[in-house]
Amino acid sequence: MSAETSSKSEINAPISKSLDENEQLLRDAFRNCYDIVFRPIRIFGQLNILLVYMDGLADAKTLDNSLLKILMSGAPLYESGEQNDPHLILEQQLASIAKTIMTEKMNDAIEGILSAQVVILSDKSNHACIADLKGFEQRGIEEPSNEITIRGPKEGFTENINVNTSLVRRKIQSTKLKMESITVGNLSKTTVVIAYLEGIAKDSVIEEVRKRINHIQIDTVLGGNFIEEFIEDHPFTLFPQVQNTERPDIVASYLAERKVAIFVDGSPFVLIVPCSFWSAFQSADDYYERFIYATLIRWLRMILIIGSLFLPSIYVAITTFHPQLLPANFLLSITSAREGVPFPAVIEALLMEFLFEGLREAGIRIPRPTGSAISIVGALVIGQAAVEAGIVSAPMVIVVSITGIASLITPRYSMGIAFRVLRFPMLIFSGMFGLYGMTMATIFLYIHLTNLESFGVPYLSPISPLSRTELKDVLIRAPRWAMNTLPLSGSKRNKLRIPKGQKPGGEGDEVS
Amino acid sequence: MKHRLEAFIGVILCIVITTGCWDRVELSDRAFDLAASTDLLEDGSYLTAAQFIIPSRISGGASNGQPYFVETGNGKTLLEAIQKSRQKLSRLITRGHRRNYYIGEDLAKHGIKELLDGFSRDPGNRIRLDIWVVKGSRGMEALQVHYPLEKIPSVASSKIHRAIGGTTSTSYLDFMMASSDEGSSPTLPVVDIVQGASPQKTILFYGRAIFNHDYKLVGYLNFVEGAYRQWILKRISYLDIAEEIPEAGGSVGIIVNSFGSKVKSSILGTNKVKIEIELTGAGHVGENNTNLNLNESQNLKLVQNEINMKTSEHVLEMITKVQKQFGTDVLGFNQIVNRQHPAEWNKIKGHWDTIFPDIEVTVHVNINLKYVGLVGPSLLYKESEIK
Repeated sequence: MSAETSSKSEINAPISKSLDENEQLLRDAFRNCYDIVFRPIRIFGQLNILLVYMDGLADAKTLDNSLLKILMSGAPLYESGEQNDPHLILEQQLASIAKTIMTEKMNDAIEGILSAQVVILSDKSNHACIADLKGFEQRGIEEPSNEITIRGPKEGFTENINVNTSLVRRKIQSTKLKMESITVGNLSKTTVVIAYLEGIAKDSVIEEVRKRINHIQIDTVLGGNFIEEFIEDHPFTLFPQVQNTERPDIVASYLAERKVAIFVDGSPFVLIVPCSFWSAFQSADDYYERFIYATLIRWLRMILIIGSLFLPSIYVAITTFHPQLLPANFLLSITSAREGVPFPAVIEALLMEFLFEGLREAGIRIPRPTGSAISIVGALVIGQAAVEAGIVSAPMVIVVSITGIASLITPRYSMGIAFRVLRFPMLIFSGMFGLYGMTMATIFLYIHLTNLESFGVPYLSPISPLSRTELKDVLIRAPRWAMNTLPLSGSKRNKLRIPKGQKPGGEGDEVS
Repeated sequence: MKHRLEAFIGVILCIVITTGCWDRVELSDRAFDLAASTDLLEDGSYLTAAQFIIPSRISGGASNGQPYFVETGNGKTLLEAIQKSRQKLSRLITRGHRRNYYIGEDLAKHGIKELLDGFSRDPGNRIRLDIWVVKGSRGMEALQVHYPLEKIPSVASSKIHRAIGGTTSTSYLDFMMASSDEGSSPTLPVVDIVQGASPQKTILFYGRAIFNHDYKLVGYLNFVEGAYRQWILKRISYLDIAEEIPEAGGSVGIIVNSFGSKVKSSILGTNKVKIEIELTGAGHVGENNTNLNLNESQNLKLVQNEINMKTSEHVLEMITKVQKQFGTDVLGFNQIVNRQHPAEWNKIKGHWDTIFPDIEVTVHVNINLKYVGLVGPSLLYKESEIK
């Protein structure tokens, strides 16, 4: 408690005119920090200045070239007289660095040092110059590993928030794109940036995002999910109400569709709100391929994702409750395959699904060199050997494999989690009550989904509540020239996004 | 409200762990019968038999033996007979896939009323069932025929029926509908068990069995007669017709694959009904044993007229046989009169059975031979012999 207050008073202290005093203050604040560097320099033989920075955070090379060299060799003579304020000389003549801030508060100086900047203190001046010389090691811009497209751009976000915002800024070169910065986390001091298009995004949503982020009280923010869990509407649901992406083009497109993006420093994932259920079926590639194919692929995706939820349940329900629903020959094949299998179908399905989830998890966690072990174990032991030993039936392996592939097909991993987890309760319901139980569970699921909303927008919109103009990007992917209204606008005031009548090959084309 | 989630989970858990709620039946606890039969024994008791599949023998090769077995049971009533066969089975009988049911001729003659009542009460019994009369034999013998083409032989009879152009999976339903319909009499398809080329017996699709209002078998229509009846009822998709052409001194066979039928009725005074049947069809020449060049249009016309005339006679013969010999309306005439003369029908429907045998019927067959193929005259004739 006492340490807390003492450090508080230290930090609140103003910078004094004495360099020694300032140095002592900083050394106190950074005691036991091996990575702090104090570099005293004497220039013109009379003025003492002190450079303070964190080793590894500041760009040492640039520091050498643009500051130390000039200060120590080619510096003009110090004329005491008209320009006798040493800090002005430092800022305006000596430090050849683009972004500098002058401050009188020790507090700002310490924060500057911590955020990888170089603080220059000089004798006889109560100002400190904070020079932006960030130069810590970071990952370059790479192709996003989790959201791959065939024809789309190949750049993805990095851990650096400045790079991330600039990637989006380059895609939307408009002053309408606003980016508000909020610092969250009293230890991590993480920069969180709320980005939106002014006049396009809904004011109520922006205000809500601002309010919810400002209310967060947390020590460290190490990723987007730290923010997500504080701002989502319904914590006790499997369905994510905040979308995340590592693609700048997705962020740009959502911003143009009246949504709000939240950048979190240190995370290559940008959060997007509000988010709808149907975005689970939308992939970035849908917009980079021609619309007919994109629509077909979207349907394929929808059928498989829904299938991943229901397929094992349907298999269990039909074989144990309603075998008359199967064609006779199909039933004969299944019956002969199941002959001699010791477990009831529902137990068998639960077991295999459980094992599949285990395999999937191991596939993610396993160290790369041992990765081949998992494929051998998965394919041979669980697939072939278990069937040959008569412990598991072959149709069940087929069902679980199809389900496994289908459950990983969703372009949004976090949405796929919901479907993957829900197939277990679905399986129990179908094992108990057959198709009747499945229907009941599905109705429960619908009720749950219609109850959800994300930042005031119903989760199932625009299907429920229905908004006809927005259906252009839900069950189909309409051609770009047909998507001429903005989504999320409700039925009352439709905002025009692009002018109508741009369909190529029409009458307008012939006139011109 | 506060404990809603907990309460919900609690209720679900109760259901899960209460064993009574798990009413599933595993596939390995079910015995699927794909066909069954009922016969009347000499002592008046019923003998039921069912062909059950043996799942473990389905996927294996032929070396494993037959993938089915027949289990029987007999009793005073049908249910008692089934109960007897259940006493021999380790699994629950599942009838959801039973598509064929065979009735012995003795039982058919005795009447199948009791049988049908049991059928209509059993929810596991599928409605798309084909009931067959086994001509001159027991139903169980149909189950014992080892049909070489099909893994499970009992599906053979309905597949034969479909392959030769009939309508399958509707005979149970049709039977029930005809039974409840005023004036009409039900029919069932017939199989015959004959000696095949190999030592084994095989199944032959014979025709149609005709029942009277007491659900007793009164007679059979053979395959061609049955096909004519199906033609009148528009339930046929394929028929071969071969007729003698006396003018050319040979026969011509045609394949008809498009069918139409128009039945017109008129009331001629009290209890006198006239029916005009016009059967249309389109087909092509399948064989030509005459010396006619069918590429000549007058020759084709000649053949066509001759076949139409002959076929009309045959259809009329079939109708007369039904009228005079069986006296049961299995041709849907009652419905025609009902639809076309509803007021008169109400007066005469009470004694339709006495009116039906005396109905004056005319038949016009109008088959259009659309093409003769690339071979006009028969290739076996020298050019000089061709007319």
